Amino acid sequence: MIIKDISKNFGGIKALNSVSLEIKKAKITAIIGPNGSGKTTLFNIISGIVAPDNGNIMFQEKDITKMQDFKIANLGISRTFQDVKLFKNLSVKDHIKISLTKDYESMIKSALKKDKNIDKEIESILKPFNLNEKLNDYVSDLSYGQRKLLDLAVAVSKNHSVLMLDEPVAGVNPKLRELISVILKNLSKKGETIILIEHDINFIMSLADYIYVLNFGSVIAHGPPKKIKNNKKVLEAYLGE
Amino acid sequence: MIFPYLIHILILIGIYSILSVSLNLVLGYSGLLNLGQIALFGIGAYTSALLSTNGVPFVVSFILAGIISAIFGLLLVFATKKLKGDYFALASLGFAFVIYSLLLNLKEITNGPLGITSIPKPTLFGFIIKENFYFLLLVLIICIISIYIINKIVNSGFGKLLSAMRDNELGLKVLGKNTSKLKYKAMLISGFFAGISGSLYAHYIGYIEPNTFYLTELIFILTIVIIGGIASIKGSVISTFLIIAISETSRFLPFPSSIVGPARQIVYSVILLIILIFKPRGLYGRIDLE
Repeated sequence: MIIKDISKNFGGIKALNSVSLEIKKAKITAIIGPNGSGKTTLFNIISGIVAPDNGNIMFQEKDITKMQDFKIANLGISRTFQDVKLFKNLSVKDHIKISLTKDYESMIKSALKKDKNIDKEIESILKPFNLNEKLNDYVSDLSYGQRKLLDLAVAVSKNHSVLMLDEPVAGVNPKLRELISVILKNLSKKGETIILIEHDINFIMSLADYIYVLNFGSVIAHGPPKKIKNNKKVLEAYLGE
Repeated sequence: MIFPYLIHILILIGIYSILSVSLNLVLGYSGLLNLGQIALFGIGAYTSALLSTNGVPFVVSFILAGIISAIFGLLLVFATKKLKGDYFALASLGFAFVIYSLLLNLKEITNGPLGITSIPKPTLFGFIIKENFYFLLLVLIICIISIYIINKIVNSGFGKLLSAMRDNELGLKVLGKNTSKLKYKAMLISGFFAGISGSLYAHYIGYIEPNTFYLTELIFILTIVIIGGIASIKGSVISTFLIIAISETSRFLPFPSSIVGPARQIVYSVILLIILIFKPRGLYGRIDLE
């Protein structure tokens, strides 16, 4: 994915200022920066939720800049949100079924055809997320951490070639953070392309192959973790003068 | 004497059950607070009445009533596609006002405030359904088929997508689902069933006028759906029984009709308030009214 010169203003506020990134295949690319630096805005632009004012995004040789959100998702971009976007009146099983099944969109086919029992397949998808025994639980029955895991599981189970994760470990306990770290490392080993937004520097340093640092809507540094760790500009952005 | 009256009540229950379940499909299952459902009911009634009073056979009028209402439902969603939540509700209420105004003012077509009279009884396979008992059988068959179809839809995978869209539209979009298409399909089906229930109403009562399809009826049908419970087909049907039973038994109160009419509205409102305070999900609802 090539993101070139993306700019976005909200009223008088410049959320993104000519941001360019290159997302390499089968690598974990992290986007870090202080609050308000434009990370989530960038994600929203990539996934088509918000249109940029300038710039373009090329994905699999297609210009997806002005494409609708669901069409971008169907091209193979799967994402999570900082505030999880789950369906509170549906069960864990139903979340995965919706993610997996294309047939549901046809009303007639869906009403006439008996829903295949894919519980075993769903259990095996949810096992790495420790949710395989929660198939019939509703989202309202899950803890915050379990909801984060379900959000990740739904994104992973959807047909995709890029995973965009917006703060996957925000607000979770250390045990869960470790589990999510293991999940992401396993996905990376399988050749998954992952773009990650996170505040947790240690989490990022242990996972990312490449890091972009945003501050006030601009890229202030980029490089492998070792280069970023002691970068003066990065330290200033996070810790102030 | 009681038996014919019971048949009358059951006919109304059948007609309003179809209408309330059609509204629950979009309100309860899809998350679209469609305050224009009563207009779709009216469009169906007028379509069927106008066609049949001009010699079109009942079956054709009935089906076209559903189709025309479905098309109007589709147009409503298309025109309001950028609106969400309360804004959609307000726009759909505006749609109800527009349809009411058209029914009132297009006198050459609708006969304005005088309404359409002498709407013929249905004729099926050469048999004129004059007796209310046979009309009840017709309504029951159509009601059962309608509720079966809507129930099948909401319990299918497509129904799961509608529920997901209700709960979190953005969450569904990023899974690659075209939520605009889902809304069109939901409104198409809902509009169709609202239309055919309007057709049945017109052919049963034999007379329709614009005020039948306006705010008072809107409140009536919303009360049924909310009391029965959001996203509950069973709730809508049971609630229809209860509300119509209360409505009809109020006729026997020893008060003049000028008091009974407004008193009924007060009774519906009080029941609605009690339900919203003590049982906000309604009798059988699974979803909070947000």
